[in-house]
Amino acid sequence: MAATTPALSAAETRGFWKSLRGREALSFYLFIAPWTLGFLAFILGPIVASLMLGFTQYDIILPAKWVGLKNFQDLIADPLFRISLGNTVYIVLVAVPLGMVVSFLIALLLNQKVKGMAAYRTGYFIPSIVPAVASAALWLYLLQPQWGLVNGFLDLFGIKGPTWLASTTWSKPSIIMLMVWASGGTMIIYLAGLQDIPDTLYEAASIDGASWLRQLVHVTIPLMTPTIFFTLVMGIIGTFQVFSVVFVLTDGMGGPLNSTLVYLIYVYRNAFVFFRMGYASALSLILFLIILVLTLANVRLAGRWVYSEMETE
Amino acid sequence: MSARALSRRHFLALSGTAAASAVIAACVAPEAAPAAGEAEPMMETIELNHWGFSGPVWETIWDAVPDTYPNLTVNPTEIGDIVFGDQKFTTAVAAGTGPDTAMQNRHTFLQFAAKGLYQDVSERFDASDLNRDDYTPVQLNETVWEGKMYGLPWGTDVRYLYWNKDHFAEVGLDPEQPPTTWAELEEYADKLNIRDGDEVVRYGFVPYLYGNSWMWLYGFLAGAPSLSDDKRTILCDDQRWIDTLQWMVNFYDNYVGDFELANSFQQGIRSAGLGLPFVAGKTSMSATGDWHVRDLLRSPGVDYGTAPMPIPPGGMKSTWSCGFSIVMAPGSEHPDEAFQLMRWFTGTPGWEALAAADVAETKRTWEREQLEGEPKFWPRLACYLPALEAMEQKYLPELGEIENSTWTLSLDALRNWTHGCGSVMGVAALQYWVEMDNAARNALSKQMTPEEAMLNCKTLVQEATDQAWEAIDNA
Repeated sequence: MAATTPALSAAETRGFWKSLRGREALSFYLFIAPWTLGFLAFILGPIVASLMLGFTQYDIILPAKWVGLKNFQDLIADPLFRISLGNTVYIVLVAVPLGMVVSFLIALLLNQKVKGMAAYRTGYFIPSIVPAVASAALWLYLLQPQWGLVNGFLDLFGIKGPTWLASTTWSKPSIIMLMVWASGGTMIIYLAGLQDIPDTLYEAASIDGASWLRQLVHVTIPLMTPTIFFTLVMGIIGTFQVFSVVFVLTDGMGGPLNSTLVYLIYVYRNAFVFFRMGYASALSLILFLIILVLTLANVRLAGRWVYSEMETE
Repeated sequence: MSARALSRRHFLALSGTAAASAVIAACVAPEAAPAAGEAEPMMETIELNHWGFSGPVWETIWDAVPDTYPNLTVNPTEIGDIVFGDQKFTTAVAAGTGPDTAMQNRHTFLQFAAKGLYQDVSERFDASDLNRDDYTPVQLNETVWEGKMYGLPWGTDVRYLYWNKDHFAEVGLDPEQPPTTWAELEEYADKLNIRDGDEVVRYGFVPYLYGNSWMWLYGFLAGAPSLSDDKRTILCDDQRWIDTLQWMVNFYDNYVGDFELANSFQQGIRSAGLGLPFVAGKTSMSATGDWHVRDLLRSPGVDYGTAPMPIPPGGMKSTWSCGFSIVMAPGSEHPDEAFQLMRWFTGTPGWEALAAADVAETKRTWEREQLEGEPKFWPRLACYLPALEAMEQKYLPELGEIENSTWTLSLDALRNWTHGCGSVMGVAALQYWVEMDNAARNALSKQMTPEEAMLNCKTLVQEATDQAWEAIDNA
């Protein structure tokens, strides 16, 4: 700061704050102050603390003890670290693409000019604004093996439904179903993206005799790639951090038999059940690195498939 | 143009200042203390913060505290989960913002006492007229860490076998003779099982999954040790644990069937509003706790008996008890009064207040569920013996023969043949609880052999125990 800003006398400083620029700067800082203070105290502070705690043994009661890389060595040998990471990657690999495809298809449907469209759009969007805890409680009823609606529906076709959340095979798909059901936010983003595509392009394509499918493949999807890219990146980041629905659906245990022990449940369990804050911080740091690497890779690969108007100009 | 922009900026500046002022004002804690000097009371009233259970029963009992201690009032707050962790209390104590007193689960008591989460109350106890002989010995012992007392034991429980006499008669078994050995338990379970093709209609007996027995009950019946005397070595790799789990796996294979199916059968009964499997007549025997009598009082159609659990060859009459204690948090500003509250709550006046609230809630339950007959109340098991006696004298005469014999069985177990959950799991109790449960589930759902499951439990819990001891030794 000192190198770039010429030193001001006290009078000049007072003058600056009275000037238009000064008043504007003051307003700016005052406006962002609540968020900035909150960010520093409750987000950046804990992030930095967590970075350091990852190298300690700390139970929040006794002082933290520096243990170097021990936590990271321990997690290499920890079967639950591998299980939780495996479960999370499974959910990311299935839920993110599935959520994107379903949201995209629904957005295409909701982009039609049909009477009462506002009601349809609201209907599909509502699940995404239902609080995670409430939607998890709702799905507990839906997936109840004997009397739940899902198995009741399957029973109509003579299919004996699984035990869903009580089954090690079906517990992860149950969670994925809930996540896809609640992906209305992604759908709204797609809808906005679709409405940004100029009608002229479709007109030109249809004059050239392009079918609906060809228009979708050659006009809609290429022009939607920036939006798809955005939802892919955000979807991966968000899904790696899945927590509250699993917490509610499994009473915080990630059961049955750790089959839904997702990464953040394991972090939480270490931090707030076993109070192994150092180990939990090390786990968080690893998750941060995984997400960072995946996001950078996504950004790097984006050039190959994401359409950018900047390039053509 | 410029004048308009300027006025808008003025507006922005003013708004920003106002918003920031509002935030700063909101950050200043409102003064909750009453204005001093205005109508000073004769005696200073002290309000204690107590963190514990919530619900209609728990909200009213504190009104009775001033009857014993006129200078005390209690501000009760829900403590949250204290079975699988103790998040709210631990973080508050670490931050120096804990309550005066709190309920704590017995199985993790020593783990947390060792970390300094509770205040030593030995001196206050010794200076009072309280007597160690007036408490159930196992539960009193579970408040003591390295010779110091860190709380007062409140309530406890005890587990045994319930059997349905009608079901016994129906399949030709003597309704008055419960199984006494594991061999008989298997034989009876087989006779009592009812299947309709592949569909389960009734289970004879489902160990571990139904009722409230966990792996612990069966291990203790087999005489399996859980912990070395110095609490440093985890013994769940003992052959008796492995054999017990193998027996349980065989029991499922022969008399229960698929683990997941048994689990979902139970869930289905509950979802249908039929209550617990034993009450619903969907299992003929159940290993569960004394509190189950309350469920059965609401279902007078079930003719049942209670007895100690059957024993394996070379085993012993045994069971386990858990429950809760009350502690004083470090940093309480009113330690003398906090101890008075602990005394009140665990003593006869506290138990009488709770029983009165329980009775009122029982009446509401009878009305709400439109149950027939007079509301019947089964008291909880107090660790303070004079309170336990007072409960017995007041409420047991109103109950029937089976409730009275079950009460006698409970007291016999508490005095003579129970294990305390706070003594058997050591300083990594939470991990031990979770991993013992995982071992049972891993073996019963065929993910691991019983030996692999118990050895896995040993490895994980021993590591956690070693770490906990390292921290204790270095403190």
